[in-house]
Amino acid sequence: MDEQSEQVDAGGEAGSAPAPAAPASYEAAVERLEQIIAELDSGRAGLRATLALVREGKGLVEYCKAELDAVSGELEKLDLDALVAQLETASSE
Amino acid sequence: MSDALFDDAAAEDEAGGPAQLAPGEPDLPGPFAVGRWAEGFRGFLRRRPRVRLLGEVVNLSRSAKAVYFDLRDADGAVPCSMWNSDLEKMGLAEGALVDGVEVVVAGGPDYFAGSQRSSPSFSFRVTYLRPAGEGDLLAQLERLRKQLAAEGLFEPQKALPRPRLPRTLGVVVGGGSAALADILAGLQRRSWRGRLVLAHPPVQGKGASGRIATALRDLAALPEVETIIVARGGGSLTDLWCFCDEALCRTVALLRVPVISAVGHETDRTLIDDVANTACSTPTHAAETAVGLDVSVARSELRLGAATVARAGRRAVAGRARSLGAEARALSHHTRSQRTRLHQLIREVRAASRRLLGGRHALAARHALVLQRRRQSTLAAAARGRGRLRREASGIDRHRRAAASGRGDALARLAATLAAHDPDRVLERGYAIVERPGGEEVLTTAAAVREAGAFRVRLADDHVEAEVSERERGKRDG
Repeated sequence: MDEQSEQVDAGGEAGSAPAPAAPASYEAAVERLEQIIAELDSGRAGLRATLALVREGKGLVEYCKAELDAVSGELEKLDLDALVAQLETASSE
Repeated sequence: MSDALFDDAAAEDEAGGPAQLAPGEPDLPGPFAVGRWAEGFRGFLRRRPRVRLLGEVVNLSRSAKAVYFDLRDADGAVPCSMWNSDLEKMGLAEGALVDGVEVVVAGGPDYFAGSQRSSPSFSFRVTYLRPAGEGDLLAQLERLRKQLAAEGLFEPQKALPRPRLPRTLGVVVGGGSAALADILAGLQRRSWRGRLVLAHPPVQGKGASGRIATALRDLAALPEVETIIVARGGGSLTDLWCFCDEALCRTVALLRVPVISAVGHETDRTLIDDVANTACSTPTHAAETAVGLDVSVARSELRLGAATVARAGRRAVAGRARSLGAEARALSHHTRSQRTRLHQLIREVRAASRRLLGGRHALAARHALVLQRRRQSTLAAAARGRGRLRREASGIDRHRRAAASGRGDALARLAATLAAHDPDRVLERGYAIVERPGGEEVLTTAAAVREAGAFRVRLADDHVEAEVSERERGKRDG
């Protein structure tokens, strides 16, 4: 079983494995992370696939952490009118 | 008479005789005197059926005799006028008739014909006016709703993806309102502390819908704004009416940013709720919808996920290393057991060879013992033989003496022969026996003596230890 998946992996990963694309959104990242965890938990993945999943999973965790950090500091309140006035001043200069 | 102007049959009579037509001039009745026609026109309008109209009061102005305003909705407007005397009969509260209110009016078209010095004007002469009730507004709302739905304007916002974790939210809400406080509380419950871009247009009354629409367009123009919340606390449908404005709803429907609406109470259903991406019952709910997850919970879950991934990584390597180790151990165990068996075999072979050699040594020792015993028995036999010879010799003496008495000669010969075989007697005669130094073996050849090196010479009385001389040894070696 393991050998088979290793072979499949070997076939699928000819050359260097391409880096997974950056997630489109937090929820997409979480969804993919859940898939990865389910796949890791199933124990079906061979060694190479497991390591690739772990690498991708770590990248997703980093991305999600950055997204959470971005909304975990201080609440920032901007006034639209002030913002629009600023933009108009900037564009007229 | 004036009415007759609008009656084709009478028109001919009223005209001032047959008229000269200029080239290209249409051949129509007239020309009539305008004042008379205007009067006729006023009469015609006043005969139109009286109706009730529903709309928003705009451009309200008052004079000593009357109030003037436009009654307007998204599709059109009618200029209205109402005598102050009529208005007073309505018993309206102070401030009830202001710009922006929805009213129901009753009346009919009228025309002020003007004069040489004053301008003519058309107006809808209002004789009855009341603020629009919920029923009137709901009926109008239903018509608008059907119209926008038929145009497919409920769909575009629904198709927009809404992020669960926006970094920047646009908020359209009354400044310092309870709705704003509720939104902030909702965001706090989500542990969300991102960026808010706040717009505070009027959320009620004249021009509110237009200001709200402008705020929404401006927010949507900011690239970082991912979701917009439009919220207002509860109120009468009249209060909320600006959120049913057709132009505002068309603006919302076509925004590129998803809009979450929370206008009025749960039971209220404004038109903006229909066109928005998501309609929520309260501002708090809108905030929780805009941020679809609890940030602190998400952080804990992420930690768990990260741990699971890391564990899976370790397990993948360590687990395989363990099984690899087990296989390696099995292999080395097999080798070790083979080696042990080999060593066992070697020991057995050595033991066997030792036993074999030991057996040979024992055999040699047994042979030596046998030889020793044989020698001793030989010596004992010789000693016995000597004793017997002595006894027999004495017997022979007796026999010799007896022979003197008859049979002595033959016996004496026998005795002499026997005595010749006694070794001690031989030694007594000067012979010697050459033995090994311990006396265990008699050396009978010169070669054996040379070989032995040291030897013992037994004589009749004692023995002498001797050695083969250097010269003799030379012979042996040569």
